[in-house]
Amino acid sequence: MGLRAAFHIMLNDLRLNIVSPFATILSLVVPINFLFLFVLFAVGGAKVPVSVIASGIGEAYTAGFLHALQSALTFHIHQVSTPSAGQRLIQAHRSVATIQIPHGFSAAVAQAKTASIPLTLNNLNHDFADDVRRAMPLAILNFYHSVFPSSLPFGWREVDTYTHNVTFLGYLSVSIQTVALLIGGLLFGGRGAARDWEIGTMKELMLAPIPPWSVVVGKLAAGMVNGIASAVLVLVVLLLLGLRPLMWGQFIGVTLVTLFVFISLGVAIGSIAKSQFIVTPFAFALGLPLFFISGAFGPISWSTPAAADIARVFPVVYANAAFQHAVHGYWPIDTSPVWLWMILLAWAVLALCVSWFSYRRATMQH
Amino acid sequence: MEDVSLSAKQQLPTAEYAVEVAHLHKEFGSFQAVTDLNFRIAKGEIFGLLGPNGSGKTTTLNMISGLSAPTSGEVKVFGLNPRKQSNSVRRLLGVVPQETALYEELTAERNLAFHAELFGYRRRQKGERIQAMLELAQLQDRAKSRVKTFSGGMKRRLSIGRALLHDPWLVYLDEPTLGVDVQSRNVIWDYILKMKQEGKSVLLTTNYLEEANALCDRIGIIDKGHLIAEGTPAALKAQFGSSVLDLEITGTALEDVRELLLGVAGVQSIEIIENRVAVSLASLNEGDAGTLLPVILRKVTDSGGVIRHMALREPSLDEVFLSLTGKGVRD
Repeated sequence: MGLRAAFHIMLNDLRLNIVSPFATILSLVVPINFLFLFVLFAVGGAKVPVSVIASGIGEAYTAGFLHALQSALTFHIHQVSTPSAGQRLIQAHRSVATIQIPHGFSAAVAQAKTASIPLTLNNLNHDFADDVRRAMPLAILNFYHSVFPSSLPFGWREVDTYTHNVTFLGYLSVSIQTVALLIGGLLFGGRGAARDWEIGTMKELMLAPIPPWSVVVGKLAAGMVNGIASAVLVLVVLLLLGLRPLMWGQFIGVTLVTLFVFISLGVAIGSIAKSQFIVTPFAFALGLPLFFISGAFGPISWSTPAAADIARVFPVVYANAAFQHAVHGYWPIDTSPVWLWMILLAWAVLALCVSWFSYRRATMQH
Repeated sequence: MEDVSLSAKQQLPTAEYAVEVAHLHKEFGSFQAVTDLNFRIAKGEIFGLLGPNGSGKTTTLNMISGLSAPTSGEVKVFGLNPRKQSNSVRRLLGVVPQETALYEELTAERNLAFHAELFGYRRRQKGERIQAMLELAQLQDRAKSRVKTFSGGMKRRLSIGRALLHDPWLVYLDEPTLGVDVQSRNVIWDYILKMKQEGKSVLLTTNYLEEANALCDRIGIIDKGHLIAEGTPAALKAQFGSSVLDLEITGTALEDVRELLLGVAGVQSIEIIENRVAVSLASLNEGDAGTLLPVILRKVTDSGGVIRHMALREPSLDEVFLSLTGKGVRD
C-alpha cells in the first residue's frame, strides 16, 4: 500500500510539474546560461587582442618573429599596415596594444644588431596590459629558440601527465552538469514538498490511509524523474559540444547520487519553508556560492586554502571532481576515488534522513 | 440536487458513537489550547462545533482526525483510537477543509482520481466512484476542466465530492459555505442533510449561526479551549430566554436603560447591539405580556428614552453565542 501510494504521489507531482513547469525550465535555463557565460568567459578572457604591423613581412626574421608572437598562446592578432590603423583599433577598444615590427628588423637581427620593437599599450585594462608585458619577452625567447636554437644554452623537455589536454572551456562545460543537478534538485524537491503545504493539499495526504514515508518517497521519486530528464538534456548539450564521457557508468552514478542528495535536501527545505516562493531564492542562494567554490573553474587545490576547506565539507566538490574524471579522465582532487564515493553516499544517507525528519516535524507541528 | 447515493456501501461500524471525546487536554508549551473537553456525536447526527477564532476548534478536530496527539484524555472515532488505529479511522473519516485544498492546475476528474488512488481504489471501482462524485457535485460536464477555472461554489462542491469519494461514515466540514453564493449554499446544505439521511455523522464548524441552526441536531460552543454549552439549537436558545424584545431607543444612554431594566423581574439579560437593546425575557406567556411589556416600556420612557421601533421575537443563536462567549462568532 505504501509503495503504491508513493507511486501515485510521484505521478501526481509529475503531472503538476508538466502543467506548471517552472522548476523544469529553471533546471535547464540555469546550466545553459552558465554554459553561455563560460563560453564567453573562456573566449573573451583567454587571448589579448593586439595589432601587429609587420613592415618587412617578406623578410625571414620578420616572419619568424610574427610566428613567435602567434605561438605565445596569448595574442589574438589583427594585422594592420600602419601605426595609425593600430591606434584606431585601440581607440575603438578592439585592440589592447600595437606591436610594430619595423623596416630593417630582419637585417638588424641578421647582423646581430639591436632591434627595437615599438609597443603602444592601452594600460587602461590592467589585466590585459600585464598579459602583454608577460608575453612579449616570451615571444622574443620563442623567436630565438626557433631561429637561433644554438644561441640558447638550455631547453626543456615536456612530459605530459595525461594522454590529452583538457581545455579550460572543456573543464568549465562539464561543471554545468553539476549546477543542473544542484539547482534542479533543490528546486524539484523543494517546490514539490512546499506546493502541498502552500495549497493545503498536504492535509489530504496526511489524512489518507497511507504510511507517512510514502509521501516522502513519492516526492523524492518525482524529483528524481524530473531531475534525470533535465540531466539528460544537459548531457545532450555536452555531447553536442564534443564532451563525451569516457566512463559512462561513473557519469551516470554521480548524476544519480548527486541528484538524490539535492532533491532530499530540497524536500527538507520545502517541508520547513512550506512556500515555493521561499524555496526558489533559497535554492539559488544556497546553490550558486556552493557551486562557485567547489571546483567549477578549476581544481579546488588551486584556490585559497580556506575556500578549499569549506568546499570539502559539501558534496558538490566531489561531484564536480567525479564528473571531470568521468569525462576527461582527469582526477582533480586529492581525495581517493573510494573516499569520494563514500563521502557522496554518506551525504545521500544524511540528506535522506534530513528530509524525513523535516517532513515528520512539519506534519507534527501542523 | 441529483439523486445520487453518497455511499459505496462501506459497512457501518458497530460502535455506539461516531465520536467520543473524554477529558481531552491539549497543551502547546504553557498554552492550554483545549481543557477538559467532553462531548459525543451519535451515529447519523449533525453536530456543530462553534467558537471564535483561536477557541480550540481546529486543535480538537486535529485530535479527532489523529493528526495531533492529545496531551491527556481520550478520543474515539467509532470506538477506534485515531492515533493507534489511524488507517482505520482515516477510512471512516472524510474531511472538507475550509480552503478547499484542490490541485487547481489539474482537472476535477484527476483531483478525484488522486484521492481514490490514495485510498487504494482499483481501476473499475475508482471510475465508478469518480463518476458518482462528479454527478453528486453536478460537475459531470466539467470533469475535464482545470479546477482553476471553477467558481468558489464549484470548488466547494468538488471538495465535498472528494471527501465523500471513499464513503466515510463521519464527515467533517470546516466552514463549508464560506464565500459561496446562495445557490451553492443551498446545494451544500442539501448534501449535508442527505448525509444524515444515509446514516452518516457530520461534524460541522461554521461562522454562520443560521447555518448551524438550520442543519445541526446539536451544537457545542467552545471558547478558550472549554466547551461552554452543548445542546440542541432550541435548548441553547431557551437558555438565553424564551423571547427577546428588541427596542430601538433614542434620547437616552443605552447603558442607563440596561441598568434600569436589569432590575425588572422577568428580564433575564440585556445586550446592546449598535443603537438597539435586546432584552431577553425569561418566560413570556399571554398574561406576562400584558404586565411585563408595559413595565419595560414605562421604564424606558420615564428615563427620557424615545422608542423608535419595537419587536418581539425568538432569540437567535448569535445572541446565545454572544452571551456565552462575550464576543461575536467572527471575532
